[in-house]
This record gives sequence, C-alpha cells and structure tokens, in this order.
Amino acid sequence: MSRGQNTSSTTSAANAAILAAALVFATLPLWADKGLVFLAGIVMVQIVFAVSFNLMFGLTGLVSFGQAAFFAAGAYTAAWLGRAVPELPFLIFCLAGGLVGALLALLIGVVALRRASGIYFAILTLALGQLVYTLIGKSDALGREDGLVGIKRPVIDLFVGTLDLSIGDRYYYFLLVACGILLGLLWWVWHGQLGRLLAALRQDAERIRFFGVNVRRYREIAFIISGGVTALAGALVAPWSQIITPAIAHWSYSALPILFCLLGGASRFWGPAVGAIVFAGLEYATRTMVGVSELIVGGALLVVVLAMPGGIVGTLSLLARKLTKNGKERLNEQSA
Amino acid sequence: MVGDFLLVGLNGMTWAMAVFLVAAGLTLIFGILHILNFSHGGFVMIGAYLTYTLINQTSGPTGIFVFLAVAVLCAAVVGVLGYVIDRTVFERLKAVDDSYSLIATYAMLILCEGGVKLVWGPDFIALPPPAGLDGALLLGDLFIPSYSLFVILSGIVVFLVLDFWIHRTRSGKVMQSVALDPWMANVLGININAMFTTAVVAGFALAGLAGGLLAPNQSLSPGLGGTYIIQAFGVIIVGGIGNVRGAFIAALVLGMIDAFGTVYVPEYPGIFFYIAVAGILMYRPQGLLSGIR
Amino acid sequence: MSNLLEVRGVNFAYPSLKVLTDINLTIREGESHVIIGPNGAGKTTLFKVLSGEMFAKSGQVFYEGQDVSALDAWQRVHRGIGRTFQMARLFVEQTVLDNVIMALESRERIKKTAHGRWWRLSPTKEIVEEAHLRLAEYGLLKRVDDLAANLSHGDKKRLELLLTLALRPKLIMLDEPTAGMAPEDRRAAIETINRLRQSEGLTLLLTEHDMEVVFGLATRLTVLNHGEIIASGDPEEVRRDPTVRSIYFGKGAAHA
Repeated sequence: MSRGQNTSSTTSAANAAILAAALVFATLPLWADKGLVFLAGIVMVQIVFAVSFNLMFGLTGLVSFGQAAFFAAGAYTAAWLGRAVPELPFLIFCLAGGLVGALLALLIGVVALRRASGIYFAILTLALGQLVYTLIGKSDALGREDGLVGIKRPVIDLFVGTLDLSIGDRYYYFLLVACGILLGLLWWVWHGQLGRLLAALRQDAERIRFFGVNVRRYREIAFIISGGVTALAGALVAPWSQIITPAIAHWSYSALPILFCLLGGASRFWGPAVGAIVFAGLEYATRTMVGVSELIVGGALLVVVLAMPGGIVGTLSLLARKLTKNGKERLNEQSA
Repeated sequence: MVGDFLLVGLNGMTWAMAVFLVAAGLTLIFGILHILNFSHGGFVMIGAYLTYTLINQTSGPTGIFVFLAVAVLCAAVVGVLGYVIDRTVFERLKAVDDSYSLIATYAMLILCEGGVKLVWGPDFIALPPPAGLDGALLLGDLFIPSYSLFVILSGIVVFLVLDFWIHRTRSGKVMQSVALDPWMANVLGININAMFTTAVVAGFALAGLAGGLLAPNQSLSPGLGGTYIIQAFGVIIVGGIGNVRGAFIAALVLGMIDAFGTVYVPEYPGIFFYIAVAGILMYRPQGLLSGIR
Repeated sequence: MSNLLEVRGVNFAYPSLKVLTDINLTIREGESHVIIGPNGAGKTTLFKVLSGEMFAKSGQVFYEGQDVSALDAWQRVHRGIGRTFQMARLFVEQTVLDNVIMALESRERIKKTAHGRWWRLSPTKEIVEEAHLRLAEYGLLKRVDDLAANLSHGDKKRLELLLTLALRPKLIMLDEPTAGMAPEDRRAAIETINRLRQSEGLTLLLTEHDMEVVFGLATRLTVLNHGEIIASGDPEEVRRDPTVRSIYFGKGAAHA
C-alpha cells in the first residue's frame, strides 16, 4: 500500500535499526557477561509484554491498568503445570498459559468493557488486576507471597531427538526465537486488516459503527489477543528467571508496559520495544543509587508525556520528516 | 458474638475513614479539573513522613494537640507543593486526554517514591501514636484502640467540613458551578483559573492532612503511596468520581464489605474490596452518586 | 412504491427536555425525503434514533417491514442503512486511500467474502483497484496519499459520501450534506446526489437548511417543529401550507 513518498528513507533507517537490535540480542551471549545476558532475556520478554499491551493502548486507544494480571496468569499457569504434570511437553504449558491469559482477558473484558470510557476502564482493570494479585498472593498452591521457586528449564522433545534447554545459553536462544515468533504474530495483527480496523476505531469509535462494526466486540477481540500474547510472554519468562513471585501480578508491574509505550512511542509498532530497551538501560545504569532511579524514570516519563507525546520513535521520525522536507525544499529552490 | 460483630464493624469503620481521608482530596481535584491524580497517594505519604520527622524534633512524649498542629502544618506544606505542581504540571494537563493525565500523574507518584527513598531511606519506619491516643477504651469486654476512634472521628469531621463548604458557603457553590460548566462560569465573571488552583491546593492540603493524621496508623515505607492510592481509587470511582458525599458513602460500604468478608473468608483478606468495586461498577458504571456533591 | 422505513409513534426525551413527540413517518423506496425545521426542532435527534445511535423512549422503527427499534447502529448498517454527519467524520490520521479501503473492507466483512477476512495482511488487489476507481469518480484521485485531515472542507464532505456509499446502503441518511459549502458547490452537490439516487437506486433521507437544496432534492418534504411533525407531503403542498408558512418561512429562516 502506498504511503507518503518521503518516508522510504526513514523506513529503511528503521529497518536497519531493527536488524541491528536483533543482531545485538542474537550475539549477546558471545560477548556479554552473565548478568547482562539474563537482563537481555528479561528485556526480550518485556518487549513482547509491552508490544502486546500496545495493541490495546496505542492501537485501540484503551488504557488497561491490569495487564500484569495476564502476564502473571501465563507465568503461574506454565510453572504450576510444570510441577503438577511434569511429563507433558513444555510447549503445552506455554500454550495453556496463553489460553488462561486469553480467558482471563475475556472475563475482565466482559466486565470492564461494558461501558468503557477511558478512566473507568483504567480503574476497573486496575481493580480486577489487583484481585488477581491478591488471589495469587494468598493461594497455597501458588506458593503465597513467596511464589514458585526452582522452576526448571525444560527439555524439549523434537521429532529427531531431544533438546535440553537447561544447558548453557540454550534457553536464551529459545527465548530469542519464541519472542521473535510472538512479535511476528503481533506485527501481523497490527498491520493487517484487524489492526487497521482497530486504529480506525481508536480515531472515531462512533464513526466506525456506521461501517457496520460492533465496537465492543472488536475491543474485546483486541483485549483477548493482547492478554493472550502477554500471558505467553509470562509463560516464557518463568523458566528463565526460575522464580516467580506475586510481584509480577502487582499493579506497579502493569505500569511497566505503559511506561515503555510512552517512552518509546505508542503510535508505532516498535515504539514499546525501544522504550523497553531504553528503560532497561536507565535502570541498569542507576541500579545502585537508591531513590535516584525512581527520580530519573519518573522524571523521564513526565517529560515524555508533557513534551514528547510521540515518544522517542515518534519524535525521531518527526525530526527525520522535517529534515527530508527541508532538503526537498532546498532542492526545489535550487531548481527554481 | 455481638462483641465480635461490633469489633469487625469498628475495623471496617476505621479502614473506611482512613481511606476517605485519602480519597477526599483526590475526588475534589477530579471533580473540578477532571484530572485523576495518581500521585495523590504519594503526597499523602510525604505528609506522613514529614509528620514523622517533625514529631521526632519535639522532645518528650507528644500530646494530641502537638500532633494535630503538626498534621495541620504538614497539610500546609503539601498544599504549597500542590500550588507548585498546579503551575508546572496540571496547567498543561487540562487539554490532555484523561488517560494521559493519569499516566503523567503516575510519573509524579514514581517521583514521590524516589524522593522519599532519597530523604528517608527505603526501610520501614514506625511512628507511635501520640500520648492519649496510644491506649485503648474498654467497652464491656471489648478493647477499642483509642487511635481507631481518633481516625473515625477525623474522617467524619473532615467530611462534615468539606460538605458544609461545598453546599453551604458561597465559595463552595461557586466551585460547584465551575465544576459543572467552567465556560459558563467564566462568562459570569468567575476567575476559573483561580478556582482551579484553589481546588488543587485544597486537594493537596487534604492529602498532607491525611498523611499526618494517619502516620501512626501503620509503618511507613516508600510503597505506602501506591497502597493508599489504589484503595482511594476504588472508593472514589464507586462513589462517583468527583463526588465527596459519594466517596464517604462508598468508603463506608466498601469498608464494611471488606471487613465482614475477611471474617467469613479469612484465607483471602482484602479480596472483597476488589470484588465489591467490580461488582458495584458492573451495575452502576457511573458510581453511586454522580456530579460534584 | 413500497415502504422502506416506517416510524411509528416515536418519543424521545432527556430528563428535563422533550425532544421528539409522537413522530410518525414513512419513507418510501426510491424517494428523496427532506426533513426541515428550525434549529433545535429535533432533526439531529430524529436522525440518531433512526440510525440507532440512540434509542427511542417509546415507539418503533421498521425497516423493510421488520422492527429494528432494538438494533444497534452497526446492525442497522448491516441491514442497509448508511449515514453521513453534519461535520464530515473521517479517519483523519489515515490517508484518503486507506479511508476508502477501510470502507470497502467493511462492506466485504459484512458480506463475509474472502476480501473481508480479518487476518488478511494487505487489502486484496480487487479492493485497491475499486478504491482507486471510486476515488477517480469523485475527483479525489490526486489526493490518494494525503492524510484525510489535510483535505479541504468540500473534499472531506465528498470523501465521506464516498465512504458511506461504498458500503452499498439502500437507505442513506445525509445530515445537512451542503452545510458550509459555497453556492456553486451546492449546485454541484445537488446534481451529484440526484444522479446517485437514480444510478444506484438509493432512497434518501436528508436534513437541510438551504432552500435551494431542499427544493432541488426533495420528492417529499417533512417539517419538524418543537419535536413534532407539523406537515408532510409533496414539496409544493408543504410550501403552500399556511401553518408551515407562519412558523418557518415567516421567520426568515431561509437565511439560516
């Protein structure tokens, strides 16, 4: 589909950046220390978390403040199943985690989307997310406040043989591939017919009704996909961190993807990914300074919301557009 | 049995009035500016920490009056902070979508947490109740902590004062008209920006006051702001955002549901609060009362 | 001609304000029915009740003989009702082409054809071709890659009409289609609308303020005043109706 003409150079620059980032993630275990590799694994999962959240936020235009509930649902389902029925294949646990997340999204969506107007939806999802947090934190089967510990990295049964992911950096590469597949899926949804429909719905929900679109149903569909993929990300993280606690269901964890989206730019598919990487960098750099890290994160977020509503990616592409426009004008002047 | 019942009711009341103290300023600011201030809990927390510091400056046991004076002083300090934030942040948020201002004020909550960690450190701190409120009343075979009664009384007094101001005074009525239709109020010659600022300063002062009054109620930690705000959100949204009377009623309803729910299902304390919030909003999405009252 | 839309005893009121009182109205297939009335007469509310944006407090709306009173707007669109808005409403962050594709794909989704599958990444070749064809018809081909937000007022109105018609409705409701247009544009709009009615076999329901447009388009005319219908019928008869003359033309509302 044709877009504006002068965006091709920015598009190729963006593609190069994505490729470079993918390359850095792929080669990281070769040159970085263990701590950094672990962090990178977490960041990859958080990218999936944030991009799937952005399906609701940036694309559909609804702020859910309870996204961590889905992440935790996926992580706990997969980890618990791994304990209860260890003989089943790991991929089943992941899929079950995603399914539980999608079902939970269906339930919460039915309640919270009844009359979704911005702030009510935000608070209702917050309350329902906290309900999930409380339930997990008080449940004996899920280890109460201590969570589930000693989660094993799985052995995957391929048709030609088995692959033991507990050895070396293998689970990292598994994460890389799995997150890549999930991002590909989300990319498809975002850019496909459904994504374009959701974007139109965000711009004018009243108008899209007159295109024969059942607004509430499509918001629910977006919520379910978003919750399901978030839960899959959660399921993947459990064997990586090998311990999960109720903290991943807490509302402050729900605020993370919002932060990433705003920091990177919620209107672009890759915006939240940029936000997640920049945020991880900020946190890593300030990790030893008590209190300062909050001041930097909070300050950055406030500045972004007040001064750069497009986030990092939005601001960069705006700059790029201005630069190319200026260049063009100069060319025109010369030819005139 | 009856005694148990009373005790649970009293716990519910204490919780309700503590949360109402926090929610009052929050709902006031939303009623006038339509900004749901996520950082409100953070400023309650700052009020509580300030109270802790000031009380530790005084020598010997603190009496009730010194304690009250300190709380009012904290209200004033946080009110001044509110003025600064109104000028620097809220001023820019009026034109922004509701959910974006929610996120901007969330950023301020993170700043509050960082500030508290820097100044007071990340560890738990405890402030004992002042002399005269550290004991308990004996009612039959029922021990009632006198500090609980103090919290309940504070909540009721703050509610009555606010309610009187909004409904019985001229400035309160002007405030209501600004909330209903700022454009029309402006046409009628009311300086609406001054009213906005007044509401913000009053809302923040209420946060500081709540922090001061509730400081001895729990151990202080940088996570306190977040805990406060979630409960206050539930209360004001169930009460009807912007509605002080609604928040008062909602605090009582939710407090009682949670207190009695916890008695019957002790395995999951706190869960009934969220269930009640979701359940009530299912049937009354606009909350119990609507409009600024 | 059979009845396409029938309104029976519709009432609508806000808590302290009666907006529509006992509205009875019949729209016959193929006619061009214009509703006029002073500002605040309830025209826009009537439109909203008919299109399903709001529900009547009492009374029924029948479409093709079936009671559609309880159907939401999107369901009525599926039955074949389309509408435009007083201020053209487009998807302003998207290009003109993407707006048209959105409408065409929506039509295909309603028809449940292969072009309207939600998992499709790009629009099919047929859809893109049809979009260009329609844009050419409306003289908007030069603007395909422009953002809808950057169109002129007249182009926005034309694009919105294109979008609504792309859904192939049987009944189309136009809320002041010529509002804010220059006189010569108005004449062109009258021609376009009349041509469309004949070529696409459309039934039209409009509200309008401009008298030239009213009498250039109307095959039937209904006058609404204070939420009540005070006259309905042949445009010339209505024009001669003394009640109408006294409340409507007598006040010089034609200048509005």
